[in-house]
Amino acid sequence: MIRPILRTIPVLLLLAAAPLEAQQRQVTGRVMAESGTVLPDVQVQVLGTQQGTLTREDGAFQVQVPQGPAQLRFSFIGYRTQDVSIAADQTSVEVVMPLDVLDLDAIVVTGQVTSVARRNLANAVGQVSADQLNRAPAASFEQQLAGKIAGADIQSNSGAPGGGLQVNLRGVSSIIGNATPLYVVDGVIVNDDAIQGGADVIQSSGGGEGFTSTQDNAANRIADLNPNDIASIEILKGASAAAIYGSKANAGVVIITTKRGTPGAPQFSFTQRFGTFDLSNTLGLRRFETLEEATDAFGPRAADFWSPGAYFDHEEALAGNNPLSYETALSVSGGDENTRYFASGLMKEDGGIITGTGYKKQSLRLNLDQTLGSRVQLRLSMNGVHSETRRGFTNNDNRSVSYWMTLPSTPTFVDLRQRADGTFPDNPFANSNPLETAARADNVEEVWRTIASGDLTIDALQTESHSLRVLVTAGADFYSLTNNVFSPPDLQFEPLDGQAGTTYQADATNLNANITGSLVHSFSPTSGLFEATTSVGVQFEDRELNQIQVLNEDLIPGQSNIDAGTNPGVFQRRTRVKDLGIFAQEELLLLDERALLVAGIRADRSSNNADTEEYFVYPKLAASYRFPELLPGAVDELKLRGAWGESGNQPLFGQKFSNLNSGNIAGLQTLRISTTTAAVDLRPERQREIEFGFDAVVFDSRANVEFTWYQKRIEDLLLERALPPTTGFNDAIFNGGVMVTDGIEVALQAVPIQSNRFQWSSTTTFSRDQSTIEELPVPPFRAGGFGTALGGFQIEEGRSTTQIVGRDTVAVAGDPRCEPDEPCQPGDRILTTIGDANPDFRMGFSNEFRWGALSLYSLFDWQKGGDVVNLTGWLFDLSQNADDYAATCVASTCQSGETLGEWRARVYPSRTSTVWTEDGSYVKLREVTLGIEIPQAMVQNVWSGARYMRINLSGRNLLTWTDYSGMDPEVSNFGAQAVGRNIDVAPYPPSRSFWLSVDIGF
Amino acid sequence: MNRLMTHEPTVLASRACMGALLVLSLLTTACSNDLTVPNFNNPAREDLTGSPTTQTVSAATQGIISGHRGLKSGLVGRLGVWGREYYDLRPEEPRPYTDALVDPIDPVNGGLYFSGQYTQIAHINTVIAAAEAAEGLAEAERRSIQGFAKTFKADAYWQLIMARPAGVGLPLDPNPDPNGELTPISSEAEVYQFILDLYDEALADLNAGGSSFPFSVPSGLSDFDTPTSFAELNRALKTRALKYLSRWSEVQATLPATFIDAGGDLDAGAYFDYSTISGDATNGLFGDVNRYAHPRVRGDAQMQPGGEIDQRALDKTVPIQTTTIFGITVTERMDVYTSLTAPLPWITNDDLLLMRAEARLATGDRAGAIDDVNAVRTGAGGLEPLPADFSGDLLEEILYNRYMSLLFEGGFHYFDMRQYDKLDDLPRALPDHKVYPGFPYPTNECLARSLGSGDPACATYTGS
Repeated sequence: MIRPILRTIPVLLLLAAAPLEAQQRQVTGRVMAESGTVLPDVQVQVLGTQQGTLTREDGAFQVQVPQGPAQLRFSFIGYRTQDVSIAADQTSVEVVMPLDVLDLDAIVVTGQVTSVARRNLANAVGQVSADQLNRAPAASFEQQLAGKIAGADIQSNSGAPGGGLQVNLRGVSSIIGNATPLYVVDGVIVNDDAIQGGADVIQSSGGGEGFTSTQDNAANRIADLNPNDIASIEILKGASAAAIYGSKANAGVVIITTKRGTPGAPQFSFTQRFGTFDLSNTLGLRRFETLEEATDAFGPRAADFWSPGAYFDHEEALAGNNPLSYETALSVSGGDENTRYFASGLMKEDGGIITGTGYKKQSLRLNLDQTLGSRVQLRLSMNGVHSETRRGFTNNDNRSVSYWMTLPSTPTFVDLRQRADGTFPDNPFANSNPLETAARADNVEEVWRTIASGDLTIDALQTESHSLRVLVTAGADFYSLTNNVFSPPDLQFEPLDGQAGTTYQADATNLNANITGSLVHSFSPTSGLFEATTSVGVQFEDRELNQIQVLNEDLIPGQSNIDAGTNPGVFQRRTRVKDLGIFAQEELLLLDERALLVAGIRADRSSNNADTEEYFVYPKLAASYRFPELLPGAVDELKLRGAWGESGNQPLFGQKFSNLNSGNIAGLQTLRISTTTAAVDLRPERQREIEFGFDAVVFDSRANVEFTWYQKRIEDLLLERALPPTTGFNDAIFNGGVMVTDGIEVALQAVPIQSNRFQWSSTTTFSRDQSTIEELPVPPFRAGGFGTALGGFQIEEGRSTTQIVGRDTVAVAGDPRCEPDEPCQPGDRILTTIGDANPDFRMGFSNEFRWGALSLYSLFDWQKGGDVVNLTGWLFDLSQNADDYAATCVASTCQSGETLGEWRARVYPSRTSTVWTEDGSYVKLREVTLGIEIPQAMVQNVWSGARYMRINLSGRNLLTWTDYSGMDPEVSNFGAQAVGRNIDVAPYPPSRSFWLSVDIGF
Repeated sequence: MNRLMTHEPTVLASRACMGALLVLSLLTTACSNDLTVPNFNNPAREDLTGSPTTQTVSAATQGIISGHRGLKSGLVGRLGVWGREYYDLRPEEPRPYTDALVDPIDPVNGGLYFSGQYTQIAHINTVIAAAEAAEGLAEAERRSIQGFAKTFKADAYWQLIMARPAGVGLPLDPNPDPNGELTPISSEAEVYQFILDLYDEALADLNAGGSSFPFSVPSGLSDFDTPTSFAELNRALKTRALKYLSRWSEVQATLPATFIDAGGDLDAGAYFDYSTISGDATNGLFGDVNRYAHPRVRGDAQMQPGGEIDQRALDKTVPIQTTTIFGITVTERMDVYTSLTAPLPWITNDDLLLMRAEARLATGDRAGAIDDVNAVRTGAGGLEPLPADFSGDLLEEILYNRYMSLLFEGGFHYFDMRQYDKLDDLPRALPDHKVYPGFPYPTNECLARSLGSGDPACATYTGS
């Protein structure tokens, strides 16, 4: 049945006792779970009418039913919906509801303001509920999604505390446009930008100032949400599902709903966790056994430092902390018929394995549902978050400051540890002592954020067959983010640029505001032949980001204020985007709820397009058909579904402008033509997706199989074409080209064993996708990476979008990889495809065993394929400092007496990239939880007010099996990139975490 | 949950109407909404290409200077290593070393000294057109701007053609429409002629440019801050172009119109300024600890009478702790630019004197050549003057002085050695070190013109 409501949790309006009419009779009853506990808040509907009610705290209900036999439908989240027939003379009924282990009766969002029961859904929508999400604690809820949804590829960019992940839905959706999904939280479109940090000012990976660096290891802002507040997450993976979000939806939409109050006395949930983090992988540093080895690699100066047996493990010294971390969460939920509230608070601190790093978050939430009068409902959600993140100095740099950029040229026979008097020795072989940098330089990001939303639902019209509601949702997401970097003047590397000491402060203020107004009309004739829901609406969004940076150098010793230096630099960048969309959708549920037809359309305008008046139209069509009781006992239900939709991807702010760059020379104003030029008709990218699949419930509802095939065709790609330099321009931004991504998703959910005492439920997901550039109107160009010498990404017609291109040596004459006009003799080097960052497939295995009060849960994540460009390893090799440099060479082309490192240096000259483009396949044990539910009797013996108590032992990222020689195959030096992930340059090392949690309800 | 209503139909209808009205009103305000957002962060290109104001044109002209500063600084880079003036050795980034000395260069890793110069040329062309179009400028002021701009343009082309291997030409005058036809490639000879003619065209504009510029120049160009004095700089740059073409009589004919002065300050000339003002650049060659002096700077230096080596070698390098990186042992670091705001020379008096020495030597005036060499030797190097009857290799002596005086200023030593076919005389410190004949076009240009590795402009040079 289609519920014309906003969210997955049904909007509840209680029926006041109405006078008995001649045609009605009253039916009472009680609803219980299989275990015998009563179930409050169960929705009771009289089928064929618009009448219904909710069960009370004791599970009892009463409802008006027309004369004659009737059917009552009982539904509640987490339980299987029950349809119960009432005889003409029956006035009471007892109902037992079994658990919905497979989530078959969940409600899923299908449009801006409508939703559908999962059994009828015509798209493959990923769904995760609160208890599936919160198995093991994490800084950002994205980490808790990894491995759980087929088609969703969620990867960390580094091991740094505080988040920083990329969510990729169904492969690649864009090249230079936005590549992260749209996040909607309780109806507000929230900001997920990754605001550049400040490390670049001392590392100079991107130039050292201004807004030039994407290598600051920034964390994206969705990490601010408190995972404990989330009730459910729905993921619309492609245009066929997300079309209704228009030109912001190419990369998918993630819809998050937070918990709301349930009527009754206040119910508290308290969770206290203690845990620690532990370095889970290092690169290994070379041991220098003889003086000759040391001077060969580090020159005659090594003799001053080397001594037999001198070995200091710098990696352990740097990242060997096991910080005590904690999380304290308290929530309360309660209310009555007219007012319901949910309030929660969180205090969390994740320590960092590197000194001076860590993550702290505090969050407060109040969700209020208030009935105003008999037909107006107001829901408010307010969330305030404060977080403080310290991620250290990692990733690429050009100053030898970043920790793992300094270690390649630092031998293990030098002692860098803090001396007894508190000072640190200078590093004689590189510009900085990373232990000192970690201890004394500071890189902190502080965020104050408020997300507030409200929605007003007005029942304008309600008859037996019609209902008309007016919904207005408005929300704002505001944050103020401050980055501070302070590097004291007496650090070893500071005086080298002539301006000892660096202080930096950047303030970013961002406001995302949106308002949506819609009308939803629902019609179901008394014959019950069909149900039609029509929705139309308007959405307006305004987002504005203002970033100001102040940098100062040559500091007064001991001072860190931004005016305490002699060389201030000031930078500002503003962006603003205004969008307007109009949408309409029709949903038809026919044939005894077996068939669902959906048609929708959205028209969008945006200030980012060259023509701000032009509407871009995104249609969608979807259909599903159920075969209930197809083969009873074997196939309980089979649903076939197909969908088609189009969505868009706006140009980014500023891409449509052709600029002059302003500056000065010795104080004289200068203007110069920018080397980037934009097309005069810059417009959104367009994705057309078709999707087919089936869902089958098999073996007496013990298993659920889902299969989906999809193909996305993305046209009008936003491309940056390198212009031949003789035009005077370096690049032009324009729309063109066609990219095709297709793939399959398979999910198997099963409950193989379910008995009174023991239950085993299991979910296995499989997905694969590949993306090809079908048409490219320009010559191949580089997108991401450091250039092809080190393995870079190249966009080329007919090739995979994520291909890695580099140099390799020709092995035999006539090597098919040679281009027609290239020299092609054995030993020649050619530029060719040497890998692909896209994995062959991904699988997730989650299993839960329950035995009485004990439960054991584990989640394995397997990625097969996906190459990583290991530049960190390359740097260690170049300095002859790789840990296996002196190992015996075992390849067939070894020369006598040659070591492994020497062989690599000889056989693969420094410009050949294949040796350092490695297979990044891995199997990770992402989550493990062992839990004990203390029996209620025992709990209440100790404290009569308690409802439940659970003790959990959990771990995250405990084990990784991989052949990749770097620290972690899940890595991205450049952060979230559509094309250009999987580049490993001195990242923050990965860590595993262990937690002991106590959950108490009272 | 829906429930049975007991209200009057008219009330229902009115509620429905209200609801519909609400959404309709939202719709209408929405449709008429203005979604224009200005470009907050930069001025628009139309400000210069449309009908520019005099202030915009002045700022754009001053922008020519800052652009050229970057190009000149870049000339110190790879070309300085090619000329064995210094090494760029970074343990964490070997490419400045391997690309410069070891590996073959091709359009992908070696297409340098190209796109920056063409961007500058396109910018200059826009300024020349804007000077024509701007209202509020007197005719003399227009000509002065154009003469100023064309001088820079000629030097940009000179940098382009000097960086290419012999025999490779260049396209002249980019098509302002980036989507239009590419201008065809002119031959090397045509390019040089174009450069020389452009210097003369600029001179004519400067001569008609009145007595002052309508824009300001930074202090490094303060000796050339009027059209008349800037003409001396124009002639000096033309002399440089003529010298590398070995057109000695023309060199001697042009020199008197420059600021050459045998008795004057050897360091007088044109410089590019840096500053620590926010939005400006500082001299990136200062404090770059990765640039180590080539051992021959001190090793091949001649001795002063007092026992010290050539003063220039002492001034321009500073001893450091002996370091070995990538197998090269170095003992000094470059110290030519001693502060963040140290100016970058463009062309100076000592350069002109040594060019005159070359020209005199080549045209038979050996005594005059020795005089000019001595002016530099003694003044800058603190060395004994050569005797008037010096019978040794005077060309070697001139090249030695050019090496020492122009060290780390722009790769001139490489150009000098190439001019005299002496590339094989450049030392190779390790067996795999190479010297290359020039830089190919960058890969984007080769792809756009469909030039493969068979064309000398886009070939791979393995060096020797």
